[in-house]
Amino acid sequence: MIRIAAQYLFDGHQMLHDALVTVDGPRVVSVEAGQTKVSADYAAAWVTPGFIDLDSGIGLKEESLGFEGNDLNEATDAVTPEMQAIDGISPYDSSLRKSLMGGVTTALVMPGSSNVVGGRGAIVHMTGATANDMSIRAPFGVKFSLGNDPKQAHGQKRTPMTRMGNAFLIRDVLTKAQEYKEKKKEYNMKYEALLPLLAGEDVAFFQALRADDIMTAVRLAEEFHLRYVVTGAFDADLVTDQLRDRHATVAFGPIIMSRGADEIKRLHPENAAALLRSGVRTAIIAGHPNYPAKYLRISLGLLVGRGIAAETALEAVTSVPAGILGLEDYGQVRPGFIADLALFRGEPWEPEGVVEHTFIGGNEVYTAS
Amino acid sequence: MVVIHGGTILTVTDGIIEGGSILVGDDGKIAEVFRSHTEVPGAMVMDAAGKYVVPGFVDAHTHLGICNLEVGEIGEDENEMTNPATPACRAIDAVYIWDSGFADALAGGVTTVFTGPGSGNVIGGQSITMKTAGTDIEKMVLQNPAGLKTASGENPKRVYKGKNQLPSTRMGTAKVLREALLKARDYKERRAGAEPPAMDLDMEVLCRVLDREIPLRMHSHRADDMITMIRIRDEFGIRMVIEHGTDSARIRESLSKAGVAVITGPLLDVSPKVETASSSFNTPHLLHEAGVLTAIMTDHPVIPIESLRLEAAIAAYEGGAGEQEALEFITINPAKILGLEDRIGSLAKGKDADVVIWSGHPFKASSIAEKTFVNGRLVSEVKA
Repeated sequence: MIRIAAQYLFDGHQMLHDALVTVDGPRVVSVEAGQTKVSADYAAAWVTPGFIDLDSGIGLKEESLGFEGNDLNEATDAVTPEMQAIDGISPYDSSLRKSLMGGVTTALVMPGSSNVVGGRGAIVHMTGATANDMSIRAPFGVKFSLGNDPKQAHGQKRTPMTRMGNAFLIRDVLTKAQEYKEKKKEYNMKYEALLPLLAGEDVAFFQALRADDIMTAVRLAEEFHLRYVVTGAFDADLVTDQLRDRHATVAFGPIIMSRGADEIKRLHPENAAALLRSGVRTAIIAGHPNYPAKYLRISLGLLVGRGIAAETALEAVTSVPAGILGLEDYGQVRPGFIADLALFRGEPWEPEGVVEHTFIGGNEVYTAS
Repeated sequence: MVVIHGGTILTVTDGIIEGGSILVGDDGKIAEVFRSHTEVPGAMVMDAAGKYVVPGFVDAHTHLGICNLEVGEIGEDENEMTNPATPACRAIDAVYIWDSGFADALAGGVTTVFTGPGSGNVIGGQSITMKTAGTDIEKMVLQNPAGLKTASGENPKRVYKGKNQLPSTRMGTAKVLREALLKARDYKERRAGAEPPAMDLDMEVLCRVLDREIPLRMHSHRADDMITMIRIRDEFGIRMVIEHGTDSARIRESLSKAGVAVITGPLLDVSPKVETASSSFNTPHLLHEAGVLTAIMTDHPVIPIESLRLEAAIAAYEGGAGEQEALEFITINPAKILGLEDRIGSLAKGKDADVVIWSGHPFKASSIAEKTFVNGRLVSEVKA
């Protein structure tokens, strides 16, 4: 049994004061607020659920390496749903340990954005001796990519060379997979990988930055009745009405990145704040390795500074992504939930709120020296 | 005249003042820093009660305006990679002052930058120091040239190995630099003689390096690269500043003894290369403790320029530097490295009135630079 006293506890939805969190084995067993005079094993200014990063390249693009550590994109073909992130994740990526130092405990690791269909992701913890040990659920999620990345990666050699080509390839492979599902002929690995998605058991993650690409993602998802999330989504504030009407889900980020290309030119924390205000279901992602997962927490501070409630910002990296991933016992600090916890010295979204302890499944996996 | 009343004034060089006043003269300089509330008849009043009043930040290593935002490759003018040594190339001919990065700089409280060539070449060209507000580059520039950009380590050898050209090794990189300086030494001697050589723009700027008029601004990540480059510095008796210095902590005593300043960073990124593996927010503090004059950079657009304060903040709270020291890393220290400590880098009488009124402490991510003054002129305003 571990008892953690928190001056402020964000439980995944709301803020509790002077809370005592009791952990037994891998799970939280009780949360009591207003406990001022108790002895505890740990005392922290702030406690939150471990952060969940909803679209990450961590482990697939290993830090401090060139091509040797870059396994994001199997860009030898533009349509590779049969690729699995779990087969490329390095448990030795130093970014994993750094993530724990920033309170990030879980990520959906996804192939990169070079291919229109990149492959299937893996929900992993940031610790484990092997990718298998890290894995919570794999394969999970199918990565799609719209916009300039696939055009740039393939256009000189093969389709797609245009946005039309991007959409065509996605529509084509989903149509064929649908047909394959109905009258199975000879085994096809690409189509097999898409069957859970067509059956509504998996989720499509469309990387789309520009507003038109975002709406193309929505169009494709609706045509094939997919459960879907739009990731990146820098222009989402331009189409909030359309997204809200369709109950769309967005994973916005990174918030801190140079607007180095045309597709990124509207990236601004103010637009992320507008999206959060609009009521569209929104998670915030670090966008690792474009921005380090370790400092996801600080990118939230830019939103808080623009009037977003701290609870809303913290939900976007805890209970909201847990809900999108269908991780029913993650992303909250409540009895019965997995004890993935981050203990901070101060406000988690401020640089000063340095992480002091991180727990995964009740085990202390990081301690500040 | 403008008088800024109240708030918490972080002077950087003369402590923290609560409830004082700063008088900005019509000449764009700070006329006075009052330690208590002082009325100045006739001055326009700016109320900063409850706010933080902070000097404009100085980012001593960027590619602002020379590597443009929003347009991709077409806006990249920082590396003339047709020749590994291009000392005659001048940043001032390529900095686009209408790039939106300048507005970002002001929104992040950054009022002075050093900007210039990248690290694709061994000798990249001449950098400039400039203010981040204005519509006339000639008026924005503080120093031209401010230094000669040079590079060691992975970048130049990767670029030229790809072209099957020298340099493809670290030895080759040192050779290119040494040869250029030796030629310049010869050129300089002949220039002073009876039969001066034909004017050579490359040689002319290298002579200014040999004359110690401008420093080499040496891109260096790995410890051995820094040591190699300091060796060359000493062979020629020239000045040098180390840029990045990612692995500098392990040789901090040597760097201190060599009297070389280090501009660390970028720090708020995922280490992209083998030579950046030891990237750490602890590095600036360790260097400072060893007596090395240290600053923090964004290397914009590698890290967006408005995040300079976030890098300093993490160095303060996580990297062991504390608030005052970390603030110095992005104000007075880079000003000293640039030789501009009499003009910028702190709030003091006689200095340029580059003043930023923040909604809260600038090391809070949630703080907003509400009003930014450059040379006493209000150039950026954000409603909080």
